[in-house]
Amino acid sequence: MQRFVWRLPALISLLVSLTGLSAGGRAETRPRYGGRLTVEIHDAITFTDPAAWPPQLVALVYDTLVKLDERGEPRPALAISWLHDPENKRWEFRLRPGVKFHDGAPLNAAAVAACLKGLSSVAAAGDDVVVIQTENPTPDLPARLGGTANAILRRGADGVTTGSGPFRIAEWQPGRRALLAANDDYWGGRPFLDDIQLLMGRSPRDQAIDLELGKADLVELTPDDARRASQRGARTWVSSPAELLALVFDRVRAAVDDPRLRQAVGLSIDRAAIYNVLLLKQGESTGALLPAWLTGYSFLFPAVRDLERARQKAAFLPKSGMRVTLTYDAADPLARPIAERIALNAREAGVIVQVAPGGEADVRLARLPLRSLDPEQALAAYAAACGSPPFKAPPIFSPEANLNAEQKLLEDGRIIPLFHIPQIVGLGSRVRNWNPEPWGDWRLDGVWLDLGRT
Amino acid sequence: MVRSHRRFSLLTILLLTAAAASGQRFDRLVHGLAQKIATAVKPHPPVTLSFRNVSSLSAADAALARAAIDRELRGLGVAAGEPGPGGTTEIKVTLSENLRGFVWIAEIDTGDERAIAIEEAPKTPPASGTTSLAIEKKLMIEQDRQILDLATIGRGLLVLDSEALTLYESATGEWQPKLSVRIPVTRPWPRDLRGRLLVQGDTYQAYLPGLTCNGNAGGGMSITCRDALLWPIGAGSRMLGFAQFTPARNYFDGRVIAPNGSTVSVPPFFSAAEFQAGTAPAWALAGVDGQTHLYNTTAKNSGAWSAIGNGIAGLESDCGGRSQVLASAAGDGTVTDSISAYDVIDGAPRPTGDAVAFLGPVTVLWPAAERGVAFAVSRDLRSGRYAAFRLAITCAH
Repeated sequence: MQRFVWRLPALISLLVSLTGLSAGGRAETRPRYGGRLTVEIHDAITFTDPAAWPPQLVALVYDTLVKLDERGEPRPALAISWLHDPENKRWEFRLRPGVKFHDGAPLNAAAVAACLKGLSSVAAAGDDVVVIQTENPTPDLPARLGGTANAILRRGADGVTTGSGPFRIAEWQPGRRALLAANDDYWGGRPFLDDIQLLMGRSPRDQAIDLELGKADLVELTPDDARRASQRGARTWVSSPAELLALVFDRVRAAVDDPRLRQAVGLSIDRAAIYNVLLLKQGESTGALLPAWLTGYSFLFPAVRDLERARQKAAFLPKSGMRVTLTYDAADPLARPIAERIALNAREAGVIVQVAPGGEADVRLARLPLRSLDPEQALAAYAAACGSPPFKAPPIFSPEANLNAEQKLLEDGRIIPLFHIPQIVGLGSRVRNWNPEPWGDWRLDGVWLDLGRT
Repeated sequence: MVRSHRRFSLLTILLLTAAAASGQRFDRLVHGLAQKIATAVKPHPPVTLSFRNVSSLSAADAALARAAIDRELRGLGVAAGEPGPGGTTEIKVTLSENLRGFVWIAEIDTGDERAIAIEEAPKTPPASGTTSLAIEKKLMIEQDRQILDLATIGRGLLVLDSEALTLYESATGEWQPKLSVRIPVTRPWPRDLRGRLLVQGDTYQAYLPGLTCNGNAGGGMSITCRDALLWPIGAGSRMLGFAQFTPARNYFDGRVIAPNGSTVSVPPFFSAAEFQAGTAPAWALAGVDGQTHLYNTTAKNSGAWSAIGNGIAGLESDCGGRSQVLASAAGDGTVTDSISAYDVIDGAPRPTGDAVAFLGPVTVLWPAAERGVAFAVSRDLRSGRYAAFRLAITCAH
């Protein structure tokens, strides 16, 4: 008992300090409204259609029926509740009342049904219930609807799309600049920011400089720039490795028609060296399309160099068939050294790879964003981005079926996954409440600016 | 020595309990994966079984999982053994994980072919047979004066605080005060001041300790007050009646005038929540005695729960049994608070969904006129300001 008594003050002191620590972890002041956040990105987006947008930006302007929490579990968004039949084939989604598109049109069941008509059989039941009927059991339908591919939008006659998200497009200069203004009537509450200035097509070097000079609040950084920024004391953030870096072989060019050539190139690549030296150990080497954190089974896809087998494959090629051209994005500073390293590796196997920035080529080094947390939808998006035949969804919902579907997409060797790489973001000193999803959705509607800081 | 022996026994029991709990946690995964393996290796030759853990499972949990799979496989006739004339089937089990939970993978190599079996399960299994429910919390307004209640009125927001009734209008996403009338207070308020605000069209009724005010909030604002003790509990057909609020205290004294005009007596209570007991409506009263007393709509006592909080509110929703009770957590005015939702299952309150946290004590929790919505007010312990929140129940079935 005595021992307990003298420990009590210490315990209280510990609890008080823990409480203090916990409070200190929160923002010291209430969120402030107002201000413009300047964001710079590498992509030059030319259309307002979210299909063309980097996934991390889509939710700024476009809502989905459900949103996904940090575990990928569906949570209410435009739909406030949902029901399904025992077979998981008929789903009813009840819509949040009173929501409008940015142009003032009501976001009702008819509008949602029109938007999702590509998905399966979708119909409006009254003004506020959407009924989705699927051919096969779809227990993961709500999670699927949380993907950016199923953003709810209105498409005008001119092709321009309108959303209902926390920001509306106030100005649009294709590929250069966009101004996203706060949606005062947003159902989740008006964002704290007045607007977001989105500067597109910015080179990584320019972004890093603008962040340092305080001209930008949020930029994308290369691993090298991130290291320099951290050394300067700048704030950086790294997402889960979500973006796929892959070699994509052209489907119509005869030079890469022989599967042995593709196998030889794939087996020759020394991912470990590229990962250590060029990626500075950011992300992970992979032989899979979907990242390990999403499926848990990516290790089933081998990603190990086997030069001996690569040489064996190449040995069967005709001499004329041992030469390919490889293109990469000239504005991506990582792409060139990686492409050159791949060419070097392939040469060791006996395949001559000629590297060139942009333009037509037999193979391209592509960055493929993860478009959905639903494996099936993500695979469909990869298939579309790589020009693969239309992806056929497995009729049964199971992890084995998803694994088979992924294996099928990779079996002809026309896509060679190399790395899953994270987004690396640099943040200005006045950015507050930066709370993105681990997979990279920026969630800027919750961000506010400490306008006292410059 | 005796004490040490007791400690040892207690420790043993705790460890065994933990092991059993871990085992149960993996039941579904173990059973599912073992079944798939057994199907893939039929007829059952001798197998070699290897394990690796690439998940966040601790070494101890991974060992438990391994033992459980091994046991389950033996039960299904798949046992490790010496290679027979037909060779050995090699099974490599990987304990992995993904965004949603654990993923256990078996690579089954029979020599002739290779099969993959995968079993997934969430890390925290969902509550069986219940609804996934969430309380959406949205800050409405924050001010220095104590907020007693609020109500939407047309496109505006009417706020009752310790001094005034104020009409707010939304401008650029923030509520801005438009009109205000002072409450004609003739006596000091009790220390733990409470109030209730009800709106119908452009008119309002404000109930305060010993005082009832009414007026108009459309166009201009008016207020007329009179001494009165009765506050309504519930509304319309879902009404318990008018209960007498003790003017110098913070609770109802237990006298209730039922909708049929009769006076009934219940234990003194702080707050009341209507809920659905099976097909019949019922009331839970958060008693001053610490119990939660249950009554049917004719105000007949039908039992009690142990207290679930002294601030409670009943809401209708589309979730679970379509009615939930919201309750603030226990604690005094010096600690942070939270509000949890309860489903009433078999007559007992069962917590559902995650609690929503507040930066200080919850001082107000009233159901709103809007279905599935309540208003709560919390006093921020650091700033001392009062913040009013709209709480909406949302669900996924």
